Amino acid sequence: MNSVLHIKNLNAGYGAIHVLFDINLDCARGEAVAIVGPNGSGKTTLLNSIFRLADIFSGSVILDGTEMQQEKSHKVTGRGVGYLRQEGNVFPGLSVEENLKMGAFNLPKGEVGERMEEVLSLVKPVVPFLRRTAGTLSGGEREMVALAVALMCRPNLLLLDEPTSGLSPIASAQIAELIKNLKDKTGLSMLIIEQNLKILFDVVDKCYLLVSGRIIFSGGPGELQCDKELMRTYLGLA
Amino acid sequence: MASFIDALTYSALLGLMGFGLTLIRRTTGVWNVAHGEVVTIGSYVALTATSFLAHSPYFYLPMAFLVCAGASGIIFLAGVEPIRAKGASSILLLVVTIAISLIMIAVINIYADYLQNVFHLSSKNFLFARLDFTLWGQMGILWAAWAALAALTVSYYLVLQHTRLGLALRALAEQPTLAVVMGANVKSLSLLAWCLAGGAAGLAGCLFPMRFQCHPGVGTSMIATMFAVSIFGGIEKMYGPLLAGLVLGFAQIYGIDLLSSWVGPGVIPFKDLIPMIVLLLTLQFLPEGLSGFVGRRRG
Repeated sequence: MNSVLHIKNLNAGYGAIHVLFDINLDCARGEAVAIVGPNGSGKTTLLNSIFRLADIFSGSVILDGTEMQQEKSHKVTGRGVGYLRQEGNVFPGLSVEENLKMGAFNLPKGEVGERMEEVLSLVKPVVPFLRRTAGTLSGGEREMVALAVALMCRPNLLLLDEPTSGLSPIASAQIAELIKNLKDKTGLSMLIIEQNLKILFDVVDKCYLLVSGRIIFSGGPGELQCDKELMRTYLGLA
Repeated sequence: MASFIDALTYSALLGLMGFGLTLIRRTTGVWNVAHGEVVTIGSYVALTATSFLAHSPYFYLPMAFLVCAGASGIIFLAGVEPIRAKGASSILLLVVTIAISLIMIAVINIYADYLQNVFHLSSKNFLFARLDFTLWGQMGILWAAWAALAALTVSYYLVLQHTRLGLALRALAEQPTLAVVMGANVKSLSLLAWCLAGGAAGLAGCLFPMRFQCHPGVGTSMIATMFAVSIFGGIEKMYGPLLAGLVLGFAQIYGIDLLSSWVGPGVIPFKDLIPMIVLLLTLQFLPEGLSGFVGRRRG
């Protein structure tokens, strides 16, 4: 299976702060990969590194065979990467429709309408509030809009940073269902950070456990679940 | 009547100056203190061009727009952006623009001295009123200033609401990092905003000496009033500076005339305090400014 994303010996952080140490990670085409770990372990920094929103000190990030170290942040989307950030993932003053259009900023103007229809058929719950201002939506609605926006750029790889964070169990289940559907229907590769592990284990093919900026486990979700020591010590689950 | 016309003209010029300041604030979140000097550069473009190339100062409006757009772009690229890219706070960026402003004041004064000493131009105090035309019984500056402000406001509104570029500028104003993630080149968009803002300041600077006395410190002396226009107008909508310019321009010129006729001419030297009072009142009672207030009432 060829890699959509290959991260090799990555050391990254912000300015003088070193957050990630020698990270090696692979995400194959059509694969959903989970990054789990306690708060402050560097999970978001890892996604930010892919987008060059964090500083890469050494190592490489290879997207579809292309090294990304020299690529500017705004060009990463054009390489087929959609990013649903944990916070600030919609433009609150713009309408939902405008948010979707902004999500397709890297696409030719003529393709935006067609892409919007495709995305809305995948994320149907967004359709009723297309005209509403994004800032007026509830947390769950906003997260769905953010997911739809991240899909607008026709991604090959979708980065999801805690998509159910702060949501009610019902809203979390809806988002999880959407992600599962996306994986089944589109075969999209995904890199997912999620605290709600019960939701993740149904969806992902591979897990990486990140602790203090270092990967201390990689393997299938079943293997991780079987390692009671890791589950209890780092994820608070027995 | 003269006061009324002065107030109308001054309002439009204030609106043009505040337009640029608001555009920069709205898109990049920077309080650009050096914006006053960009206005002054516009006045000196007009002085230089009319002195050496003849024609009416109106003829040089495009030149003033371009030169000041370039000056503002250079301020952004050479002064603000390198420090902003390192994650500087908005307060630190404000300090950066103060430093740039002081450097520009020195450069403008050196240039004015040069014009005076070498070419014997009256560059420390100049007025182009004699070069103005008359239309419907009023000086051309009244129509020109309002036409420039209206054209800028309408065209900016159309770009903002109906183009992809406008959508990206609005997105940039709200969540710059998210705009980057979606593929917008934030540096280029910010540069564009700074250039447009500088161009608007250049138009104001070029038109200002048609009615009001100009000197090397004209923009510097008005920067606090420009800030008042930007804060009072709000950043929600780009018609904010137009409304705020109208209110403050009238308050400053027409209001002080009215006040002096009641309490005596002793109040005239304090006319610059009016925008400051409006600024303080706005921050206390209408922090979102006029355009934000109008938007909230409609919403």
